[in-house]
Amino acid sequence: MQVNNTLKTMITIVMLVLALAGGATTAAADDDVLNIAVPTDPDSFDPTRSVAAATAEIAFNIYEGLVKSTPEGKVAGALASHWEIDPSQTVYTFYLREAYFHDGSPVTADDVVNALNRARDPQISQRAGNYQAIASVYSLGDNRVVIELKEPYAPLLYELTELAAAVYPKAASGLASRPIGTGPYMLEEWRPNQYIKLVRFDRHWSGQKPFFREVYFRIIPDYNSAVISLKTGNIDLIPRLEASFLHQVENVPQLTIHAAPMNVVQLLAVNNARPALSDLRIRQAIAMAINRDQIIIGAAWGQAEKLHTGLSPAMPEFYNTDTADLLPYDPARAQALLSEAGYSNLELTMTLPSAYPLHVQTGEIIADQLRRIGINVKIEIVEWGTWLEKVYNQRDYDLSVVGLTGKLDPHTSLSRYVSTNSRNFTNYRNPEFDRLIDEGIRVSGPERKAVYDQAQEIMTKDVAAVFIMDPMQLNVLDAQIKGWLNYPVYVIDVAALYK
Amino acid sequence: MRYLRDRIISFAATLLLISAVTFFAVNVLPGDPALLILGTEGDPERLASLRQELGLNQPVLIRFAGWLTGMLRGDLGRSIRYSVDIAPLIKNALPVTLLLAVSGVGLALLISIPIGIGCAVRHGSLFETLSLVMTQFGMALPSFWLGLLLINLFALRLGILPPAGYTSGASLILPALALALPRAAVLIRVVRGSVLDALNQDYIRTARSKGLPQYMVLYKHALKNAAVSIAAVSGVQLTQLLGGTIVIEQVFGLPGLGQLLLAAALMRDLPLVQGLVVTSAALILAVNFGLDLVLLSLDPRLRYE
Repeated sequence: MQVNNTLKTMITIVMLVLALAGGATTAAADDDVLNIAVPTDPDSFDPTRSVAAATAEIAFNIYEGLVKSTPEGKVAGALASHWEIDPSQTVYTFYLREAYFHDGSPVTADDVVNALNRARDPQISQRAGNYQAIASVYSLGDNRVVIELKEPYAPLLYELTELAAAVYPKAASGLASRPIGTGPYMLEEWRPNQYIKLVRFDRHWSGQKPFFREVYFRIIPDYNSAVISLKTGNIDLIPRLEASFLHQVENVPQLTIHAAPMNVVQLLAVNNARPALSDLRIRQAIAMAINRDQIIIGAAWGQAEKLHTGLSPAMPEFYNTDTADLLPYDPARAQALLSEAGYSNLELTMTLPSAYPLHVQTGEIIADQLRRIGINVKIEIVEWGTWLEKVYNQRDYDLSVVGLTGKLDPHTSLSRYVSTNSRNFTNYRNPEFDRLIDEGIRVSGPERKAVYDQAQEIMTKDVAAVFIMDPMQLNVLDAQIKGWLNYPVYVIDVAALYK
Repeated sequence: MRYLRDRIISFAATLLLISAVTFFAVNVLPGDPALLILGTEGDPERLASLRQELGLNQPVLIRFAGWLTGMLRGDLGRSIRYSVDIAPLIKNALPVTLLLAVSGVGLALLISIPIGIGCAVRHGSLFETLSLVMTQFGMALPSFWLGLLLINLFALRLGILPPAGYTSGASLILPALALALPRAAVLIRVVRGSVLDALNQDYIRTARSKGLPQYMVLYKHALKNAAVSIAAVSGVQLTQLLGGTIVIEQVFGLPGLGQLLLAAALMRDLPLVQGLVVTSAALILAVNFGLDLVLLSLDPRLRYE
C-alpha cells in the first residue's frame, strides 16, 4: 500500500510539472510584445542621477531632450522642432513642438528651463560638469527656450542629446523608479533583477505609433542562457552580445545579426608618470611592439576595428585616419628604441579588470608581444572596484587595458588627455595638445576638424596611450523582427522595430 | 523554556556578529560605491560630492551604528545600486531563493530515498554498483554545468521548459533539478549507508523473525532509524543552498537573493549587502533551529544530552 502511495505522489508531481511546463511555453506567443535580454538592471531613471550605460539604452525610449542623436551620429530635433544659433555662437534659441508627457500634461517652456537648470546644477546633477559652458537658460513665451553660453562651446548640441539633459515635468518627483518623459514608450513596471516593462505611449508628438505595444527588458546576466532563450523564442533580441558568442548565433536561420562598431576606444593605458615610461622612446617602443591584428583575432574573434588614436573610426567625421602610419607595428624598430633608451630587462606590471574578459585577453596577448622585444610584463588581474580605485583613481599602475565609451562629440573623448584633466589617468602631458583641445570648442566646421586632426596626431606620436581597437557590437535578433538601427551611442531604439 | 530563551539570545548575538563582520569586511575592500557609480568618467569633485551625499565620509563606526539603529527600528534603508528601498527588494527575492532551495533539497530527497533503500536492500547487486557509479558522477558535476546541460536538453532540444528568467513556477524546475542531482548523489550514499547499518542491527533481526513483511521492516524500523542522518545531511544541504544559489540564479537568470547579493557586492552597496546577509543568516539560523527540533523528535536519546 505504502509503495503504491509513493508511486501515486510521484506521478502527480510529474503531471504537475508537465502542466506547468505546457503553460510556460504557450505564454510567449503575443505578436506585439517584444522581449529584450539585458545583463544588468538600470541604476536610476532620474536623469540627474543616472550614470550607467545600462540605463541610458532603456531610457532613450522613455525620455527626450530638446534634441536627440540619430543613427548616423548627428543631432536631430526632438522636443525642439528647430533652433537658431546667433553669429557669436553663444545664444541658442530652441522652438518647442506641441508635445505631451506620459502623465498627460503638455510640455511647457518652463519644464524645459527647469530640467536644464537642474542638469547644470552641481548640487543636483551627476553630469553637471558637462553643462558648465551654459551661463543661463530662460524661456521666451510659451514655445521658445534660450540657452546662453559663457563662450562658444561647439559640443553643446551633442551634450543636449544625453539622458542628463532630458525633459520631465517641473512638478515630478520620484523619477528614479517612476520616470515621466515624452518618449514613445513609458515605464509601467520595474522589478529589479527580473524585468523592466515599457508600454507604448499613444500621444507621442511624432503622431507615430510604434509596432510593439509592450516591451520587456529581461535581466539575464549569463549570456549562455540569453542565447538559448533567443533560440527558443523566449527572447527576441540580445543587444551588444560579446564577440566570443558569435559562433553560437551565426548561421542560425531564425536569427539575424547586426554588427557595428561600438564607439568604444579600447586602449593600453601607459602610465606616463612612471620613471621608465616617462621616456618617450620606451613608450614608442611599446607602441611599435603591438600587433593589433593578432589581438583582434585572439581576443575579439576578429570582430573589431583597429584604431590608432583616442577616437573611434565609428566617428568618421573626426577620426584621423593618418594616425595609422605614425607608429606602425615594427618589433625591430621597437627593440632598437629600447636599447637606445638604455633599458635592458625592463620589468612592468599590467593591471587588468577581471569584469571585462575582452580587456584581460587583450592584455595577455600584449604582455606576450612585449616579452618578444624584451620587456617583462607581470600580469595582475583585479576586480572592477579595485581597478577603479588603484588604476583610475590613484593612478598607481604601469600598464592596463580598458575601454572608454565614446560620445557623439570628439571633445568629450579627447579632453580627458589634457594635463590638468582629472580623468587623465595615463598622466599624459603636452602643452600643445592642451592648447588644441581648448581651441577645439571655440571653432567650427573644417577649422574644428583640422584642430582635432592635429591633436590626434600629437597624442598618438607621444603615446598618451596605445590605442588598440573598437570592438564590434553584435545585435542579434529574431529574424522576424525588422527595423534595427545601429547607433554610435548606447541606445536601443525600440520604436523603430517591427515585425 | 530556558532552552528557547538561550536559543533566542544566541540567535541575536550571532546575527549581530555576522552583520558587524560583513560591514567591516566590505569596508576594507578597495573601491567604494561613489567610485563604482561614476566609473571611468569620475573626477575628484564629483566623487567628493557623491561620497558626501551617500554618507561615505563618516567614520565606519558611526555608519555601522546608524545602520544598526535603523535595522532595529525595522528600517533596512535604501539601496545605492537600485535607488529604491531595500525591504521590498528583499521581499521580492526571498520567495524565489526559498522555493528554489526547498524544492532542490525536496527533489534530492525524492530521488535519493528510493534509490538509497534499493541499494541497501539489494546490497551487492548490479543495481547497487550502477547506482554508486552514478553517484560518483553526480558528486563530481558542478551544478552550473549541469544547469547548462539541462537547459540544452529540456529548453533547446525538447522545448518543454523555459531556459531562463522567472515567468512561472515552471521556471524553477530546471534550476531545482540542477541543484538536486548533485545533492541526491550525496544523499543516496547517506541513505544507503544508514539503512544498511540499521538492517544489520539486532532489532531488525527480531522484527524479521516475528514475521513482519519486508516493507514493514523497512519503513517502520530501518528507515525510521536512518531518518536521523538523512535529516541531518539534508538540513545542512538546505542551509547551504539558502546562502549559496548565486551561481544557479545567475545561470538561470532567477531574481533571487543570490543575484541581488552579487549585484550589491559588485557595487559595494553596503546597505543592501547588509540587509541580504542578515536575511540569509536569519534564515539559516531558523533552519538550524528547526532541524534541531526535527532531530529531537526523531531521536529521543538526543533530548537528554
